[in-house]
Amino acid sequence: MRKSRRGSIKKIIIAALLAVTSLTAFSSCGQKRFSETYTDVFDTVTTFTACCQNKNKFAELSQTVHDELKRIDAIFSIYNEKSSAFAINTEKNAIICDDMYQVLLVSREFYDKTGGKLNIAMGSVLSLWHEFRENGRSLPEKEALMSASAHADMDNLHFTDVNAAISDPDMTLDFGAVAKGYAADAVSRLLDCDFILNIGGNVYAGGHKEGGSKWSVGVENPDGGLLTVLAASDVSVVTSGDYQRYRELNGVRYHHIIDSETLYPSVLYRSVTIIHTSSLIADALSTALFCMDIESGRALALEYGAEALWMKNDGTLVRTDGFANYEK
Amino acid sequence: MSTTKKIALTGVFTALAVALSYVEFLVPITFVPVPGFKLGIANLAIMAALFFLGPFEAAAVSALRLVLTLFLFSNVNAFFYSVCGALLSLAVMIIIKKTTFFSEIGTSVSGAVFHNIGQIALASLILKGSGIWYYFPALMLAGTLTGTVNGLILRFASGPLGKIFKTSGVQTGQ
Amino acid sequence: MTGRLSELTGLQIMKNKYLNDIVLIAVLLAVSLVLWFATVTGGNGKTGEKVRITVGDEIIGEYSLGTDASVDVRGMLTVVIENGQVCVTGETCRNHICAKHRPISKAGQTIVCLPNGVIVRITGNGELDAVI
Repeated sequence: MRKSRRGSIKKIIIAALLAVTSLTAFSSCGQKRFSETYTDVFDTVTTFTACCQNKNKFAELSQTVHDELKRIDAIFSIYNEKSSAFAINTEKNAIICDDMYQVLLVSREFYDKTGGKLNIAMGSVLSLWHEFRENGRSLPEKEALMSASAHADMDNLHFTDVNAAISDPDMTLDFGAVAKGYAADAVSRLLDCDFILNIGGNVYAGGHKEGGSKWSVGVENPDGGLLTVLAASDVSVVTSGDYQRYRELNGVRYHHIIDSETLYPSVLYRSVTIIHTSSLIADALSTALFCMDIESGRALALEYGAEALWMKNDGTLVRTDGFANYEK
Repeated sequence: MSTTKKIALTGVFTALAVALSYVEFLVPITFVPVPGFKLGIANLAIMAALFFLGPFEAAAVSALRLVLTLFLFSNVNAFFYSVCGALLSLAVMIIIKKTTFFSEIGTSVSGAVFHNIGQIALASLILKGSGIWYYFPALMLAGTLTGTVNGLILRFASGPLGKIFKTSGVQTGQ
Repeated sequence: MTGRLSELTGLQIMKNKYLNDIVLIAVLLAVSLVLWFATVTGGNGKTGEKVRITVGDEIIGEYSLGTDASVDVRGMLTVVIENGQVCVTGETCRNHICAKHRPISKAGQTIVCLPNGVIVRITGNGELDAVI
């Protein structure tokens, strides 16, 4: 009686082990991960990582992603003469596609909600700073900045779902604060596999990585090391920091996030990190909050259901209430 | 021991196993980047079932504990790692107990270590790389320690517990 | 009768079984410590972290993070690996839009010099999938 029991126990154990190992082959992302880097979109480095069965499947997937990124970049890049953005800026009147309409809608909403801190109509001011970062010889003149800022009123942008027009001849749009976020969202809509996409610091983590755990996103400490590591799944993480794009002159660093009020790079914080399910919202919020005081920023984050992390100039960190839930 | 008593005690040990699993769940192993790696504290209940009742009952407790834990507070990925660890661990413990070379402590330690081996082996299959074995020494250390503690607890509790359960004819060395 | 387990493992077998236990535990501890030192002291502690330098699509070099080195990247800049940290010096890119100048040391981190198409990335089984 005992012996046959033992024999059947062993059989059960072996059968179960076999069943388990074959079942786990199908558990989420139980495949190999592949990565590809693109340097030809959004003027930054983009890395796409996904778990696929083999290299060929990944190559197909990567091609789809790259094509979509190029498509979005070709709509919002103000330096691409064939882009929708360029057409609006030069002709002041153009037919627009749905992607542009969606971005204009969200940008208008953010302009109102942030008191103009997020302003895609600030192109004339931003181009002065862009020029400085390119040639680095001299800072933009204060007078030039002031007069440029007179042509940054969002109310002079009129748009419908098919058309956009600018009534101020000296005003131009700049989508730097929202394009990457919109692109990441667009890619996430196309894919239903597990992946992580990093467009120059604008991250979207879809699903889980191999082994079933969430994707790990490290937030840099500008002074070295990391501020924190986040566990991300089906969520976007975006950081705006003074260390990402800058030019030094006479020992002073001038970074790329310009405050719409001071017209100079914002010096409130070292970095602001936002977590939200929409990368477009996260991108817009990170730029806006980088130029806002913490209380207003916190309120805005709360309104959108986003979590935020501020790194202040003295190195201390401030979090929204739910931010720590994402930290490892 | 009557069948009724066996069934009742199996239930008791299952409940204990689930409770200990919850404790395991509260102590996540953060240094290993894979979900579902647990400390193996619940092994105590399975061992108790093994020594007081027998291998079949121990297997039942283990299986029930895995299923109940999955539905109560765990996730599917952790479940697979636990299953792998539990199966290997139980098989090893049954064998070791049969050889009678070791006491409960030795059995427990072997069970704990092989629980971790089972988990890491599964992880290396899924992650398709030997890199995960980097974490094995730390897990092995942890397993040895928890196994020793579990074994000692069982050793010193089995006297009084035996009296409480009034179990006569406790199987040993089978 | 009751608690026969403790009686059976009573005095007469005590020496044998418990001695075996202690030997087993000692062996396991020794093995785990040996393995610990074998893995932790190999390389930079983590598994196979390498510094990969790419220019455009081409990988022009891969170096171990644990070995100090100084690599000239086609005269455009120099990659310096020192004490497990990587930094970039002597950039000649015309407008210094190199994204980062601070040393990096963890898998997933990168230093980018976009105008030259140079990306310095630390690869390996580190835990980070993206660093921003």
